[in-house]
Amino acid sequence: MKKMWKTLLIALFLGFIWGWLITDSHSAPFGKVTFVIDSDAPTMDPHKHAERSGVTVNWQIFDSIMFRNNDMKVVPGLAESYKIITPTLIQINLRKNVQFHNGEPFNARAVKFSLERVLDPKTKSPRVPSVNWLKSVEIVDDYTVKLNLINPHPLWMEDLHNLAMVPPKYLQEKGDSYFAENPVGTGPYKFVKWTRGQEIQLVANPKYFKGVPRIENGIIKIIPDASTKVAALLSGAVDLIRGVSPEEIPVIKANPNLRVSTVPILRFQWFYLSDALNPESPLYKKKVRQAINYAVNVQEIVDNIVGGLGTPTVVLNPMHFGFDPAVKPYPYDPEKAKALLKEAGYAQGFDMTIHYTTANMIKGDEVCQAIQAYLGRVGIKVKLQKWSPTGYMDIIKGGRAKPCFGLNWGSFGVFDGDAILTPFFRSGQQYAFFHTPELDKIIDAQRQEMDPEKRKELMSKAQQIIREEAPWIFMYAFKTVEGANAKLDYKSRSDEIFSFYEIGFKK
Amino acid sequence: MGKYLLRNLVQLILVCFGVASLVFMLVFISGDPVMLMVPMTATPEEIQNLRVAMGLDKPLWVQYLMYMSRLIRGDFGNSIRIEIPAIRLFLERVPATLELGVAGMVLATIIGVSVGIISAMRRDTWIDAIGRILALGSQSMPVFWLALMLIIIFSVYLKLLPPFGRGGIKELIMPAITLATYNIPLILRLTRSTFFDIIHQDYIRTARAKGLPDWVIVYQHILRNAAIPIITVTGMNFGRILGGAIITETVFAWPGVGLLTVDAIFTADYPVIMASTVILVVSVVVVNFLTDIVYAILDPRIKYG
Repeated sequence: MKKMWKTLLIALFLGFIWGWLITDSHSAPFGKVTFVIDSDAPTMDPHKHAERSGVTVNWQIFDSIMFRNNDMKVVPGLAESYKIITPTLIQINLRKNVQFHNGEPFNARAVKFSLERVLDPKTKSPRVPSVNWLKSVEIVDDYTVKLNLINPHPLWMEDLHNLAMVPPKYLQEKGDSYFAENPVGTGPYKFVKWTRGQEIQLVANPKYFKGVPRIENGIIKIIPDASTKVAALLSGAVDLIRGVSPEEIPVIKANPNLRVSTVPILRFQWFYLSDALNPESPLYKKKVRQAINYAVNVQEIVDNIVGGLGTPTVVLNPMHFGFDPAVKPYPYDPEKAKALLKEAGYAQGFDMTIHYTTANMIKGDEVCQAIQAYLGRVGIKVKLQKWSPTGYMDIIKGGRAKPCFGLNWGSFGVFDGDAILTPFFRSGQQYAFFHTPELDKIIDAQRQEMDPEKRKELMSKAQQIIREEAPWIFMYAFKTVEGANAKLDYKSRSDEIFSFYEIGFKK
Repeated sequence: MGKYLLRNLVQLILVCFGVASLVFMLVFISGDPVMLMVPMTATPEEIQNLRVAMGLDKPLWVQYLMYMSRLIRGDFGNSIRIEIPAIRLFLERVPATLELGVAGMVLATIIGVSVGIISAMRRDTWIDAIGRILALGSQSMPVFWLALMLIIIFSVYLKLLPPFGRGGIKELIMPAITLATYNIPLILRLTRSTFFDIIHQDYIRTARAKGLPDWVIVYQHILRNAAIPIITVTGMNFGRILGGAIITETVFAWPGVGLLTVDAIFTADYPVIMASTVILVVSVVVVNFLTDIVYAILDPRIKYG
């Protein structure tokens, strides 16, 4: 008898679920999607780290005032609209009726609190460079704030899109360390559970202001080993992986349940001739630097070593705002390279060390060996010095990576040429190993120019100068390969941001 | 016995202290964690502020004294990446590694000892040959390769077992086999040779002459005598198991201390590197110490003066 009751109850329950599913199948989220990251998120607090794995998790749970849409344009997010009152005063009108997952309202106070939290030295936030142009935040009313800027800052929207809005009341009550493991945001997914080193579980936020998500359960798994990651996709244990290496593409393509997509990303590679301003070095001569660029066949490296997962480029990534397509890569011309070396007085060539690390690169060792071979053909004897990624930036900053070092840079998701020009070519910056007074003037001018067209002109000028001066061995922009369950309906993004909210199952 | 234990205990403490100092030195020679934590556009002041906030600006010896005094209280400091005590991050991962380590060790001991016994009893037959091939094969096989082969066969093709992660018994099977394989050859060959020596002892011949059945001889006369070297090796193998766990955990995405350590090294998270290195070394030393005690209990002939 007891058993019968139980069966009846289960049947009733199932019937109820079924009914609920069919009546609500258009709007209710359902199903589970599993995404893979290589290493665990350091913390759930979006203001306390700057790591890719953590960023991936953050943007499921949090929103920012500005969003980057699928066309890579920055548009208002939690902001409804904005008005530039003067170049140093911006008014932002916020969306009404947005709630944090704990029910706390999102309002002007939350904006002021979030921005000031990052600026406060006590927070020890590595995100400070995204807001250090901000003088103060003024609350006008519940849904209006005014930003006072120190100087005009054309990149304010780009920078704000990187900063998550956090709940003031929750943080003040529970404290930072509790928040780091129990995050509450306004985002499309609510935090459920974090098993460190293993997985992060999320569930759809039915009250999301842009509409209910399509996928109910978002799971993020941590798999450090690249081969295991591919095997996990092949076995069906996960739905989406990033950073597939070229030799694994055919394996995934051969599986009818999976698909591969290639997408260009903001990260790009170059080799800095960091002795370009040292009169003792052969690299001091412009002709030598140009000769090096003529001597390396970048297209061949891209085609034959990187498996086509790159695009030769000069000063900027083609996706940066301000990129000038008229500034073309150096053609491969070893004869011209030899002639230039002869004119510069280095017909016999010289010795040079290239420092590098393979972090983020596809076949980094092989790429560097190819450069070594190309330069060898015009008489420059290259010694390769490989470093571990840990502390590599330290070696560069300390001026020990001379006369040449390899680097790739993802611009922190800022789709603007300034993300390269200022840190690498403005005198006074720690990574600017080449600069000229003229370049300084142009870079400073574009940094405060509010008219986009005029900025473009200035940046184009900067690119022409840098191409001509050739302080880098110009290389290529990266592409990344994703492998995915063929049933998923989604579009890969160039900013390396992944959101469960953008995903659904194909009908 | 008491004197012996005391002497070993003092040695144990000295070793731990030495290791702690060594780890501190190694870690602080290799790089600057602040540079990994700030975006490239950070100004020198911003970098300096972060360094001061984390106490990394003080002279090395001050950092060393701070480190040692905290260490004695079991405090390795907060992880540099997250404001969580390194020791807590470490302890969170211990159950996973213990689960895998014990499973691997038990599996290795069962397979190693039983195949070893059979090989010794049937010496120079085809059974012995298979045993020896097993030992040679599992010794020569790279751990990561075996792990990937298992994943490809059992997860990708047969779809029987999950390819990665930790959960129930199903998730445990492949990592445990991988870890065991790494340790089988040593146990197998030791069992085989020890058994072989004992079989030719007089007391075994006497037992045989008495007409005792084979299994009684194996269990009552040989195994107890062979147990001592096998236990020693198993105890010493503890360190090897931890070493093997780093690779196994990485391939199977098993969230144990091995994976934590690798992660910490890649992100230059010094407090976590120190906590895991120091604790792992201490636990190996302690296990070896305990092995010595078990040794004494098992073999009453061994007297420590």
